[in-house]
Order: sequence, then C-alpha cells, then structure tokens
Amino acid sequence: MFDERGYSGARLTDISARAGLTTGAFYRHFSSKSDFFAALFTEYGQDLICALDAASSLSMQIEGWLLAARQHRGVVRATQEVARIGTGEDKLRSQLRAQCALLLSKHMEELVDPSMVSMSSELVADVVAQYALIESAGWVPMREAQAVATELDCLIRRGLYGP
Amino acid sequence: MTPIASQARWSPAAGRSLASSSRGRRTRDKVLESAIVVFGERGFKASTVLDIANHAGTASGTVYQYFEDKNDLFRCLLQDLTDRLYQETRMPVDTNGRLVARESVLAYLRLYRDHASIFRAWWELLEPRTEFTESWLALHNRSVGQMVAVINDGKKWGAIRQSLNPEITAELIVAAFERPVYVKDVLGWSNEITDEELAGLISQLLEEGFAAPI
Repeated sequence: MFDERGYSGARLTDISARAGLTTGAFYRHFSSKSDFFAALFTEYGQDLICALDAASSLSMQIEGWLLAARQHRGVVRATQEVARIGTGEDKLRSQLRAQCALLLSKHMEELVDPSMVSMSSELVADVVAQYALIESAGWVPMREAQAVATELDCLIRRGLYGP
Repeated sequence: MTPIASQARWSPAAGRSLASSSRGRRTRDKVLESAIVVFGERGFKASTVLDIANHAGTASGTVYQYFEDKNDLFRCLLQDLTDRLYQETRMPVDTNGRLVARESVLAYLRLYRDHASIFRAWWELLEPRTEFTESWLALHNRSVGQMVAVINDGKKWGAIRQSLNPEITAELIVAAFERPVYVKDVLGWSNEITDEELAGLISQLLEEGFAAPI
C-alpha cells in the first residue's frame, strides 16, 4: 500500500481492507499508522541486517542490501516521506544506518587503512541507501542487483581511473 | 549557466505582486525568511501559511498579497536555490579530463548547510511525486548525464577501464555526492566527520578507490 500510494496517501481503512481486517482489528495490533510504519521498518531492518551479516564479501553485501530493499520497496519509499528530524522514524533510520555501516566494515577492513574503516563504511552505506531509494521510486531502470554491486565494489577497490 | 528550458521560472501568481516599495520588500523578505525557519522546524507538510505569518509578525493576508499558497512560497524559495545548484555544483574535470571531486563536494556541503531547511523540506517532498520531485530529478539527472559523459570520454582515451558500466557508475557517483552531504548537513547523523574529511573521502573513492596504498 505504501508502495502504491506513498505514506500519507495510504489510508488505514485501505491497508486494513487489503489485509482482510477491519480498522478496529488493525488498532488491536498497532496503535497508529506511525506505529505500523515502525513495525514494517523494523522488519525491513531485520531482513537487511540478516542479508549483510550472511554475505561473505563486500560485493555480496551490496547485492543483498539492494535485494532486501526491493523486498521492502514500499517501506523504503515511505521512509523518505517520514524523514522529518526528531521523529521516532528518524531515529530508527539513523540506528539502522549505523548498524549497516558496522556490518559493512567487516569486509571493508580487508581493503582499507584501519583509520579509514569507519568513515568509508558509512560512505558506502550512504551510497547504497541512496541507490536503493532512487530505485524504489522508479527513477532508474531496474538493473541486476549483482551488476550494480559489482560496479560499486570495483569503484571502492580501484576508483574510477586505471586500466 | 542557465537553468534548463523545461523548468518554468518562478514569478508571482495571478493577482500577486513583487513588492514595489522598500517597506513592502522588507515585509516580503521577512515572509520568505520566516517560511525558511518554519519549514525547517516543522517540515513542509505540518507548516501552514498562518504559522509563517505569525513568525513574520504579519497577518496571513499579507502573505497572500505576495504568494498564492504554501506551495507557491516554497516554489519561490526553491528558484533561488536551484539557480545556485545549477551554477555551483557541476562535475568539474581537470585539463586531463579527470574529475575533480573535492571542490564540488565542498560546494555541495556549503550549499546544503546554508539552505538546510529548504533541502530538508525538498527531500521530504520527493515522495509521492510532485512538481518539487520533478525539479529535484531534473538536477539529479543532469548530474548523472554529465557524469556519464565524463566516463565515456575517459574510456575513449583509456583512462577509465573499458569494463566499467557508465550509467550504473554515474548513478553511484551522484549518490556519493548527494546522500552523505544530506546526511551530514540536514539529518545531522554524522557530525564527527569534517567537511574536509568527507570531501577527501569522496575524492579518494573516485580517484583511486579505498584499497589503493596511500
């Protein structure tokens, strides 16, 4: 529903109806739409963390991230809309970013000078998050996740220039 | 550099005016300044024209003298910002055709910091798609297009490896410009990294990658 209509456009009655619930039943599970969003975002975060944790290389982590974001496309799109600072959603996002950067650093350590691991892992996390956002909004064609991961992995290893 | 032709420039809506007297201009400027503050504090959607008028110490009728509605106010603020973005954030190359990322990142950081409230409201307005999404996408796509051209040139003279996919890499590089600056200046999640460090980091990513010996 968030995928089709965005966060503010998705009404609770429609979300409930789609799930075969009454609005009353919805409210037995979630206290509000923002509570519902938090639950979906947490689910996305868990899948993302599992994917990053399970991947055996940086490239596979990036690929896994993109695939997890595709699985939760509506949530990824909606996060942009609820990006307001100081809200609970904002806090969830910044925590997830920190966790993802930390997981990326496991494989970044193998490549990067120790003093740069944390900064460069955060940068890579931001790049992948941005690409996933743009993809979720349909602003780039849907590409093979593996192809995108390979390009970013090469950039991280070798930069743009070189034979 | 002129803004792209398909983008209509902002001008007062029907029945509204640019202030003609100096007192009127001061009032109008105050309304715009207040709009920046209110959008920054509450976000775009939660702000009302009345909030802006109250902050500016005028009646909402005064705001409507110059602007049609909240969208019109934001459109006016965005005009000035997009003009600067078009001028100041090109993807510069050196005499050898290699990207010089450092200065460009620093320019982005300055612009985002000076206009953090507007950027914050702008990113908030990207979804669902509106006219403000279109202006953001136009800038984004311009950057991606410039980057694709730089990469294709580099491949032509063998400075850039042939196996590299220009469209994907251009998109990733533009992401590396947009997101970390937004995260640092607008969201404030990464205040421990300095502007110089961030510019150096992005520049290194493009020039030699992170794995190269330093």
